[in-house]
Order: sequence, then structure tokens, then C-alpha cells
Amino acid sequence: MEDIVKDTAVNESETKNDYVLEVRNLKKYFPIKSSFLRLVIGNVKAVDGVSFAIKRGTTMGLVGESGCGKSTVGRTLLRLQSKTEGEVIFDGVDIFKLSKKELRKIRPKIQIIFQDPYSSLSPRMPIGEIIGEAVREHNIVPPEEYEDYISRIMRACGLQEYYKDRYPHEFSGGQRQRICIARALALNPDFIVCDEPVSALDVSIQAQIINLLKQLQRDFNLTYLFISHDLSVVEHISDTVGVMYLGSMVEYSETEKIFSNPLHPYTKALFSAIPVPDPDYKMERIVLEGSIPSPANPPKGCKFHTRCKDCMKMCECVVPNYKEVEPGHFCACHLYNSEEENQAAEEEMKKLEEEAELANKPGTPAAEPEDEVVEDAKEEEKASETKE
Amino acid sequence: MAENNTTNLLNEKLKAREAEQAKETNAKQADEPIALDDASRVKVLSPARLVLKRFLRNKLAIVGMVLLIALFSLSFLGPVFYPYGQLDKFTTVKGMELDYAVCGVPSTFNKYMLVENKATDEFKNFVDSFIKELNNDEADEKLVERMGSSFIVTKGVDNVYTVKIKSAELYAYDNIRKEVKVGEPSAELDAKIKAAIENKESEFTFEGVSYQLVSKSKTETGVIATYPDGAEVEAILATKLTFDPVESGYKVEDEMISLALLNYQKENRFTYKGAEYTIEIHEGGSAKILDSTGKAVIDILPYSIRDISGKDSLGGGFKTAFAAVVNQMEAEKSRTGKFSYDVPQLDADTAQYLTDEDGNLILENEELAVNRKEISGEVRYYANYSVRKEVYDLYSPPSRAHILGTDGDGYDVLARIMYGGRISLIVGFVVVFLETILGVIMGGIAGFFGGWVDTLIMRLVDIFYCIPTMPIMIIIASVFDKLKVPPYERLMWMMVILGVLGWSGIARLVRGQILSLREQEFMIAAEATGLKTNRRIYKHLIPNVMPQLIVSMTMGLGGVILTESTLSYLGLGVKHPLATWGNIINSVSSIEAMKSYVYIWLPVGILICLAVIAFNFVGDGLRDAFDPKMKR
Repeated sequence: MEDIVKDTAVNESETKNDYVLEVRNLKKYFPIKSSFLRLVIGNVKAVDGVSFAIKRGTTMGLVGESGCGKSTVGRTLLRLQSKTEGEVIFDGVDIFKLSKKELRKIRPKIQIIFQDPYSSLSPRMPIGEIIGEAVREHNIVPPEEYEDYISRIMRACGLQEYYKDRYPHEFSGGQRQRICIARALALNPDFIVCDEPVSALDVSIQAQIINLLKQLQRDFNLTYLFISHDLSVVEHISDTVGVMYLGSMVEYSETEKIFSNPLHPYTKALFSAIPVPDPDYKMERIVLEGSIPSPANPPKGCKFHTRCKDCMKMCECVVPNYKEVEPGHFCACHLYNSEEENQAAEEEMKKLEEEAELANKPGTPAAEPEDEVVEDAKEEEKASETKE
Repeated sequence: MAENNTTNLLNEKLKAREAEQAKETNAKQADEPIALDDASRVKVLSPARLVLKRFLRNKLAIVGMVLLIALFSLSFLGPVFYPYGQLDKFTTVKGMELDYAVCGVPSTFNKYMLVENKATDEFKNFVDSFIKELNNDEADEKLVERMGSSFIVTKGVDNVYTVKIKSAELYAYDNIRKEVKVGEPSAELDAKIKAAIENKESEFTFEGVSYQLVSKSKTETGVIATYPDGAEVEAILATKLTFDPVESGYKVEDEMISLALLNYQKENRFTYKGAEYTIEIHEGGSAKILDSTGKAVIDILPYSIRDISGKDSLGGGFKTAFAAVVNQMEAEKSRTGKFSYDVPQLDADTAQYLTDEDGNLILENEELAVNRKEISGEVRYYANYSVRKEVYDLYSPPSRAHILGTDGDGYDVLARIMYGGRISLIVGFVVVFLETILGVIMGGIAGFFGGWVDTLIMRLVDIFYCIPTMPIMIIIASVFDKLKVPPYERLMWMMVILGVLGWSGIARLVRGQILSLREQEFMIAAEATGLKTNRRIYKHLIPNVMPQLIVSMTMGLGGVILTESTLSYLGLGVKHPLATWGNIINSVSSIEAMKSYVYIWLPVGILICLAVIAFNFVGDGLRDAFDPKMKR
């Protein structure tokens, strides 16, 4: 009887917690304020509608070039900064709907490891205290086991027990990153955001840290969101990979699929830049022209159209849908549109052109906007309201 | 419950793995040599001990610390062992020679009238010069004539002179009314004179005395009596002897003195108002008049003796004793002498004679010194005795009793330095702690929360920066003076005001630090680990501000001690009876005083310097010790 009950419980929890984290249409705009009167004159759309979900015990890689909003996603979904729009559902709970007290309770479950191990440790605290402070605060272990527990965590992260009373400045970068990992691990989290945890380290140390992370994941069934611009590392550690460009997710799939068959032109260009450790190998790099546009004033239509070699007319004005092109392989590109989508896009394009013509003719009253446009306007209004 | 289960899961997993590893290593250990373990080599110190160790390595900090300990034990333990308090006023006894009585031979003669009329009255004023003339002539008797009258001046014993009338205008008559205008003639003489006037006789003789009538005007006739030789009438007695009652209150009548003088050195016996008196002559020119029972009533002395203050009636006994000494001195020609007698006591403060409850003078036996002095030719003898008068011991130089001397109020300087140190040091600490608490709270809030709170607090800081401390303190001091705030309360207020005026600097420092620290990733990590806000501030932010805070605090300590000293020196801070280092110097504020009383201000000045230097040394030492990046 007991066994059966246990099993069902486990099954239930598994089905319920299949996805540890779900992010739905997450937006984060940073307002640009005028120097005079501090009026909002625009927004930096750092994250502009990102959706993904991570299964328990897996690692999702998040790649993209600098400034595309990877780190902002990481920090926003921990509610270290406010969101503009969207939902972050962790273990079935919307993090942004929690009260401060509830949020504090759930904090240990979601942890973050930062890129810079030098600034992420308080310089005036001994290591033991850095790792154990929050453990005490949240009563992770009973007080009598506290010291031993910290020692165990430290050993699990490859740190010597006697480091406890030392200060961060006495450690090398790799060791510091282990301390950061130990701090995150000590709270017994379900989910860790690794915000470029190895990019500040040299290659050999990178390997150590990556392996440590992988080992910990194996041992303690952790879930990672692995943010990096280092594609090789992401390929090595991730189960799924999301590619971001200018605040939007452009492609998402399992690691093998996306590396073997990238769909989005940006992904293709990005992956073509992965160095291959073979001097005789002739790289066929797709060199992107221009630089990344300002997130304060992103291009209309597909954000990538300014640099895309496959750019079509509709790309310039119609935003491509983020859709499942192959099973488990999502992409946002007009190249992979179905017939209906193409038609819809063309219709929209025509309307927009007409609108533009009308707007150009002065004196004539503006044509009544179509339903969709009205909806868009409404959405914009909503967005601006939420911003305020 | 669910949480605990999952928690234990991680813990259990770790434990299990440890156990496995332990087995493996145990198995290995048999083969492998023991590896050099870092843990056994590096001695791990607790953070507090590390700070202490680093602090103790700093020589200057040790010097500062030793100085501070010395200053503190001087201020806080010193008074326990030092016998004097800060408000003990010290006095010294200064022996003051008080002239009590003066004795001299009177320069003029006392005159006693036996016959009182116009002639003798006029003549009385010339007696002194006649006696002088007589003495110059070294004669015993001399006839002198003045204004138509003639007198015989005779020298008796002991400066007793007798003036006898030879011939003088004794009476004057009104011609018309025919009655006596001046003088008291007997009835028979009156009749004779009237008859003579009636008969216009110019001369007649009555009872051996010849009378001359002199027409002075139409209405007045003078009568000049001329006594035959050997029958002159004694009219004036002049003497330098003084007659003092033995018991105060006894009235000495002139008539009695006259009788006594007439019989002095002759019969030594007389009858006055029906009572028999005898004169007892002593050696040295003094004498006593005894009444019929043999009791001394009057002292007769050759000197005049009086007290100098004029507040005491000298007793006859004192006069006799004093006169005896003067006699002896005269005889021996010595300039000093002494005797002891009961004399009244002086109050030290008021220089008044002390009296008992009944208003009588308190007498005590004192040794009196007698000094002979000649003042413009006159010989005087002064009897004095030393009065021990207590005076405040002002500006006394260092001595065994007062190691650093006394100041302008008679306070012991060392005692005041000790007590003043207490206040100065406590003021320093209290003010700095107030400043720091206020500054950390305000700066912390401004830095951590930012936004309009930050703007508001920083504008407040700007305002406080603009407030000039000195004028404010002057205004507040004058308000306190007006309200007559007691010294200790004033001290409290001064600390509060200095604290309130001084927090802005620390607030700015803390805010700046926190602004930079707040954006550091460890603060974000702390937030991610779900620490409470106040813990994030106090455990992560404040410790990182500590070095700057400690340095500014210790430097501030020196600064506050200086400020307090300055204010007290200017008389704006702690008020006078309460000692602080500042107002000790204040007691020698003028340049002249500074030159003369170096021993008052120099030690305090050195102490202030030492305190400030020591605090700065310790502050530097602490900053270095708190900084874990310090290599040494």
C-alpha cells in the first residue's frame, strides 16, 4: 500500500513539475529618462517577449551576442529586477505575483552564479559565512548540523574545509567561482541561473567549473539556465539551446538539433563562428554586416532584417511568428512560414503600405484602421500603462 | 515538512558520498604516504583575531594605543588615587602682622581747669608753648605775661605742670546795670567791686589781693586781680599722664583728676565727693588710684595708649602691661620688646574681630611684639601680633603639594587635568558615536534606497554642511547663558549639538560607499539568496564601509576633542567650574598670564596634542587592520 502511494505521489509530482521553469512572453524595458524633469522619452527594450520552458534536471543554454538581453532575462526571472510584462512560472507559481515575504521564502530554490567571481563575493566576509549565511537564514539544515553541512557543501564543490575562515581575496578566480557555486548549492536550489559563469576564467579552469556544474547536476538533479556567448561551452553542457537576438528569442531547440541544423539565418551566422581546433580546417564564416541595432529603437518587422542575407520584403515590416518549425525546434523567421502565414503576412504588409500612403497624403482624413491595428494600438497602450 | 525532506535529501546524499570517499581514502591510506596538507600548515585565525594581529603589528598604532591607555587611566583612574577634586579650592595661610595698639608719649598736654574764667580759657591754649619755653630755659618756674595777664608756670614731678594766676582780668561788670558780666566773684567781693565802680575808684585791696578796675568801654568795666607773691591761685593743671578707668564703664571726672593731680607725688591722698582715695605710685611713672577699700579704680600712665582699629576699648590691664614693656624698653633703649596678653581674634575673611554669641570679643592669649618707631620725630611703640589669614592659593607654582601648581581660582591643576580629561574624552566619544550613528543611518538609507529618499537626505546634508558651527555654538551658548542652564546639562546639550551638526560628513561618506557597493554583484547575490534587507545592509554593506568609517571616526575623535577644547577655551562650551582641557587653558588667556604660568597651560596643551595624535595613530592602525587586502 505504502509503496503504491509513494509511487503515485512521485508520478504526480513528476508530471506536475515536468517543467521547473516556464517563461511566457517576458518583457523588460528600461525607461530612458530626459535629463530635464525626468520624463520617460523612450525605452530600451532589453528583453522583448521571450518565452521558453526548462525541464527538471536539464540545462538550457542561452546564447547570443553581447547586449542581446541574455543576462537581463536571467536576472529578471529571478525577480532581481522588475519585469515589464509576461510571466515567470517556477514550480507552478508566478514569481512576480508573490508577496515579498513569499518571494523571500522561494528565493533559495532559484539561485544565480555570476560572471565575475571577484565582485560577487563580499570582500569582508569569510568564505564559511558567505556560503552559510543564507543557510542559517532559511534554516536549510538544523543548527547542530550547520558546520558539517557547510563543510560537506564545500567539499562537494572542490573546496577545502579550512578555507572557511579565509577571505575571498585569498582565492584564485576558479576557486572563487567554486565558492559562488557552493553558495548557490548550499541553499539546496532546484534551479540555478548560470550567468556566464566561466567567461572570466581561463580555459582549463573553465573546464573544471563546467565539469563541476555537470557533476553537481547529475548528483543533485539541478536545473540550469546557462547563459553564455561561448557556443562550445553551451554545446557541451546544454540539453536545449535558445538563441537570442536583440531581446527576442529567434531559435530554440535541443542542442543536437540546433547545432546540426540551425534554421535561423542569425543562428547560422553565429554557429559559423565557432572555432574548430584544426588548423587545416577552412572555416566558412558567414560574416554579418553592420552592427547590432540599438535596442532603444529596434528595426521594424523582423529585428534581424537589417543584417540578414536572406532578407525579404515582408521581413522589413512584418514581425515573424515564433513557431515550431520542426517538432521541438522553434524558430522565428519568415523563411519557414507556411502558406497561410505568408498570405497573412502579405495582407498585413499591404495594409501597412496603404496606411503609409494615407499618412503621406496631407489633408485627407486617415482611413479607419483595421481591427488588428486597433488591437495593436490597444496593446501598446497597455504596455505603456504597465510601464508607468 | 516538505522542505525539510528535500533539504535532508541533499544533506543525506552528501553524507553518503562522504562516507564512500572516506572508505576509499582509508583503503588508499595504507599504501600512500601522508600528503602534505595545507590545513596543518596554515594556522587559521578568526577574523577578529586577524584584525587584532594586524593591528598589533603596526608600531604607530601601538604607540597610539599606549598613549590612549595612559590618557584614559590618567583621566579615569587618576582621580581615584589623587587626593584632590576638581572643585577643591586651595588656600594658603599667610601670616599677617596686625598692629593692635599704639603707645606714645602724648605730644600735647592734657589740661584740667581749676579756675574757669575768660582769662584761663584764653590762656589754656598757650600752656603748651609756655611749658616748652620753660623746658628750654631749664627752669622750674617762669612768669609769663599775655594780654595784660600774668601767670606763673611751675614744673612738677612727672610732667605735671601747674599754672598759677599772678594777675589776670577775672571779672567784667556792666556799668549801667551794675551786675557781673564775666566771672563768679564772691558776694563780698561783688559788693566791693560794685562799690568801687560806684565810687569810681580805680584800685582797692580785698583780703590781700589788689584789684584794679579798668574801663574797657562806656558800659563795661574789667576787674584785674593781682595776687601777692606766694599767694597765687592755681588755675590750670597740665599733664601728660593719662587717667584710665581700670574697669570699663567707670566714669573718670575731670574734677577728680584735678584733685589727684594736685596731690600727686605730694600727699598721695585726696577726698572727692566724700570718699577717700589714695594714689599708689609704681615704678616707671605709672600709678593707680585706689578707693577707700583699697581697690584700684583708675590707672595713671605716662603714655597714651590706644588701639589702632578703633573697634576695641583697650582694658586698663593691657595698658599697664604695655606701658611696663615700653618703660622697660625706654630704660634699656631697645627697639623691640614683647609681652603676652589676651587679645581679640580676627576673622580671616572679613578682617573683623570675632565675637561670641553675646557680642563679646573672643579673646585669646597671643604673643605681642612691640616695635619702636619714630614718626616725624615722635616716638611710638606699636604692639602687634601675627594673624594667620587664609587666602586662596592662586597661581602657585608647582610644588610638592600641587605637582602642577594651582590655577587662577586656587584649583589644583593636575586634578583639573584629570577630571577635565574625563569630560574631554567622553565628549569626544559621545559626539563621534552620535555623529556616526546618525551618519550611518542617514547615509545608509540614502545610499541603499536611492531615489527621492536619497535626494531628500542629500539636500539635508547640504544644508547641514552650510551651517557654520562656530556662530551656531556662540548663539546657543548665549541662549544657555540666558537660561542659566546648569553645567552638566549644558555639557549634554553641547554633545548633542556637536553630534547633530557633524553627522553630514559621515552620511555623505557612507552614502558614497554604499552607492558603489550596492551595484556590486555580491549584493545582488545576497538578494538572490533571500536575505532580509536589514541583514543585507548590516552584514554586507556596513562591514565594507567600516574601514573608512573607523578612520573617519577616529580622526573625528581628535577633531571633536579639538572643537570641544576650542569652544571651552572661548567659554562657549563646558562652563567654568566643570573642568575640561579647553577651559583649563582658558584660565590663562592673556599673553602675560601665558608667559608667567607656563605650568598651567603647557601640560594641558601637550595632553590635547597627544590625545589627537593618539586617536589618529589608532585610526590608521585600525584602517590597515580592517583591510584584508593589506599584505603585511
